[in-house]
Parts: sequence; structure tokens; C-alpha cells
Amino acid sequence: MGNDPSRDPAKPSTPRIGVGLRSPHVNEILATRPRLDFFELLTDNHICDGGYARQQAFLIRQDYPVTLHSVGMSLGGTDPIDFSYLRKIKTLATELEPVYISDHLCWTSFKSHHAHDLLPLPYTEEAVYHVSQRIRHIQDFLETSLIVENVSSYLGFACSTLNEWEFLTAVARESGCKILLDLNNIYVSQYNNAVDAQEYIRNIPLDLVAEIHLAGFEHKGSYLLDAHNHEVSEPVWELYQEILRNNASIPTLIEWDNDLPPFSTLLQEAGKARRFQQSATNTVC
Amino acid sequence: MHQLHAIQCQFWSSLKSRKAHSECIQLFSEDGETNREKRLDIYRTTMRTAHVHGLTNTYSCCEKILGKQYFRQMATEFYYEHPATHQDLNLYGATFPEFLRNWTRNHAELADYQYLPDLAILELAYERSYYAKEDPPFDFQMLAALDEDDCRSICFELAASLSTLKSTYPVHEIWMAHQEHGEVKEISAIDEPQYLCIARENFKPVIHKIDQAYWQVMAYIENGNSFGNLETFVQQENLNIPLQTIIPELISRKWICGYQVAGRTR
Repeated sequence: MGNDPSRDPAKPSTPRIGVGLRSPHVNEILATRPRLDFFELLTDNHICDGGYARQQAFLIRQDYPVTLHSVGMSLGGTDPIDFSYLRKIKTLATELEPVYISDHLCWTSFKSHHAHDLLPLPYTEEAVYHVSQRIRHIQDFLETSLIVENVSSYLGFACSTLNEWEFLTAVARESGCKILLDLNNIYVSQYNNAVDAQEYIRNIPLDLVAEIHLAGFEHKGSYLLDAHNHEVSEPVWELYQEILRNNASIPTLIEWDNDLPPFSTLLQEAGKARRFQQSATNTVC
Repeated sequence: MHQLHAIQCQFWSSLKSRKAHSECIQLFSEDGETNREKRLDIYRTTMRTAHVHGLTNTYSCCEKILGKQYFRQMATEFYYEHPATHQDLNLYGATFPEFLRNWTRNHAELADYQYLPDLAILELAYERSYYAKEDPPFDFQMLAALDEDDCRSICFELAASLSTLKSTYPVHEIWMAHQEHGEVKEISAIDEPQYLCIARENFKPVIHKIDQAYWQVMAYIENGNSFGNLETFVQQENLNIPLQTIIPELISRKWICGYQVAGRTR
């Protein structure tokens, strides 16, 4: 790994397959140095004042490029932007030199209270303008472009005048951010809200997509919950292959947040994604 | 942003209340088979579950003692009364021990569990210790160079990851019994208060039992009192403590991490 320039931590290059870092897996990762191109760090786990949670980020960064994935920027919120939170992220980013910093196309707080959940936005021109402005301000402060993830939805707003992919694309174009395309979230939204997943991915400009997330959902009977606690489902793998037919080089992350399995399970998922990528690359070539 | 703000205001009110507001439901489109109230309830449930999960992580011993269902019921009440004011879910629930104190007083079924608030304080201190900032190395050189007046005015500082606790209950034994590899057994009440120090060592919080005298000296330091008056304090409180060695011992244990001289931190 030390002689592979693409893995030189001093020069984060464009990574291909990564896994979300979770605390219970850290010791094994440090001991075995698995063949992965990057790790995604949940920013909010590592911007604490100190301790091992913070230290883990630096230990991993010694051997791998990392991305920082946040949940607290409240990009669609109407509270003032929380610059104290952003300062912590910026400090961490200055030290870790992440490949990307990301957050979600949603809101997470209201009147200084925090939901600790990703709350939905109406897809309106007003919301496009508002969210884009906020993203631009945040990008200016962080001195980097953000990548913004689509969230799962469990409801739609009657006032929406755009569909989700139109909204996501408009925000990306107006703000200059890139898109983190979560295919599991698209599939969950399809099931819950009759969103056409195929049409969704056909209409997302892939030149705006900087990263893909793959994760698993929990079937709750009448709806799917974006629990990120299962293996990637077959329909989601099919969406992934659809994307790869048009662009096989988008970095891809396996995301597993809850009911954590052994790390080997995540490696298996990453291996499957890599095989799909390689197959698509060979096909293109 | 007027419409967006109005939507979020209504949505938030509905999320945080015990029952969904019908006006809020009118905001949503009707798609698919699941009705709008159930769709909103998915968000209400997820948000509530995240907060309760945060409390469970911090107060895991209390949860084990009370049982999952009872703890969840109590944590849900706390959630409705105390919305999160910080993005970091690990910091949620700082006032839960106080909430628990009122709860145990007002619920007869917890008459035998009056120790729980102190146990919760211990669990909170343990959690905070894990995430506390690192302290810089102790500046012995500067200390050695101080003149006598400066020495007397030194105010030592306890490590950021350190806290102390006094309890009339054997909370340390109760906490130990509910750790992995711990053994839940009958624990006797104690005649004298228990004094504990929670400090981080090699990234891991450790709970130490300490003497009352040590606890009082550490409280003296934590209150910003000067080294020069420590001897007077020890004599006034009639503390049986080795005055010559207490400070070096606390420094060597890294429980004292720095000092201020005339307001300047070292």
C-alpha cells in the first residue's frame, strides 16, 4: 500500500470503493488494512472535543483517504446557519484533508432544537433558491464544494411543483455542489411514494454525481424504512448497474449504520460493488 | 422563504407534540396506500427513537436495572419535555439525572430505586469523560521557574476528562455489576458516603474510589482556589491528607493537568 501512489494519504486521489467507518470495526481495520480505496467518516462522531472517537479518524487517515459525511448542517433549514458547527467540521477537515465533505438535502433543526433525523423538504422553486443559497454560504465558509445526498422520503408535499430529481439537479446547478446519489434512498422513496426509480436515475446528470451510496433498508410491511441495517437489496444493485452502464467510475460507498454485522460482511458488499464496477469498466473498454 | 419557514414550523410542532396536528397533515400530498397521518408518524417515531436511543447509550446501566420497556417509557417522557439543543446526540440528556430524581420521587414503584439518579450522574460523567478534550502536557519547567508569590497564587486545573462524585449509595458497585462480565448480585447499602473520581486513561474512562479528603481537595481545586491557601483549607476541614505529596500525586496521575498563575493558563 505504501508504494501505491493512488493510496498515498498525502495525495488523496479519486477513490473507487469505500465503506462507512463504524467504531466497532476500527481495531480490525487497523490490524488487517483491508483493500479499500477510502473510508467515510461520520463527521459528527469525530468532531467531539477529544478522546478515542476523535483519534480513530486520524488513525484511519494515516492509511486511507477519507470522506466526511455530516448530518447536522441542516442545508434546507430556516434557522441561521450554525457556524460553530461548521467551524468544528472545518478544523477536522483541515487536519484530515478529506476527499469530500457531504451532508443531506433536508433540514434537521428548528429554532435551535435538533431533530436528529433527516426531515423532508417541499420541492418548490422557493426551496431551490433557499437551499442553494445556504449551500453556497457553507461552501464559501468551508472553502470547498459539498456533495449533497438525496434522502429517503415517506411523504410528499402538496405544494411541490418539481419532482425530486428535478429539485436535486436544480439545487446542484444553482449552488455548484455535487450530488451524493444514494440508490437505496431512491428505491425506498419509490416504494413509499411511487417515485419512479428508473426515471430518477435516467434524469440525474451523472456529471454532477460525485459519489454513490449503497445501503440496505428494513421492510416495515406497508413501507420501507431507510434503516441502513441490511445488505444492499437486489433492486438497488440493479439500479447501481444501470448507473454503471453510463458511468463506471463514480466512487461508491457501502453504508451500514445500524445492527452492525462483522466487518467481513461489509467487505463482501464492497467486493460485490467492485466486481460490478470492474465488469462495467471492461464492458466500456 | 416564507412558505418554507411556515411549513417547517407546522411540521416541527407536529413532530414534537404527543399527537400529530391535523393542520400539518393537510400539507402533504396523498400518494400510495399509506395515509398521511401514518406517513408523518414515521418521522415522529424515527425522531423519538433516535433520542431515546441516545439516552439508552449514555444511561445503559439505568436501562438494565429498570428494564427496556420502563426505561423507554421514561426516556420518551424526557424527550417530550427536553428537546435536543445540540447536533451531537452524545451530548443529549445532560439533565436526565435530575429528571430521574424527580421521577423516582413521584413514582411509588421506584421507592427502592432512589440510588438511580446518582447512578445516572456516574454514567453521564463516564460518557463525558470519553469525549472530553485532551489536556496539553503539564508544564513543569514553567512551574519550577515561578517565584514564591506566584507559587502561592497558583490555581491548579483538573483534567478536562475528570469529574468527581459523592453518593450515599454504592453506585460504583452497582455500575460494576452491570458491565460486561459483571455479576448482578445483592449489594449492601453503605454506612458512609462513597466518593468517586472518573478520569480517562489511555482513551478509556476509569472510575476510582477515593477518600473523602481527596474528594474535598479536588473540589477545592475545581472551585479555582489557590495553592497558597490549600494548607489552611486542609487544617480547617481537619483533613487527614499528606499535604506535601497530594499535589504531586494528582499531577502524576494526570488528574491535575495544568495551572493558572494570576489568570494566565499553563
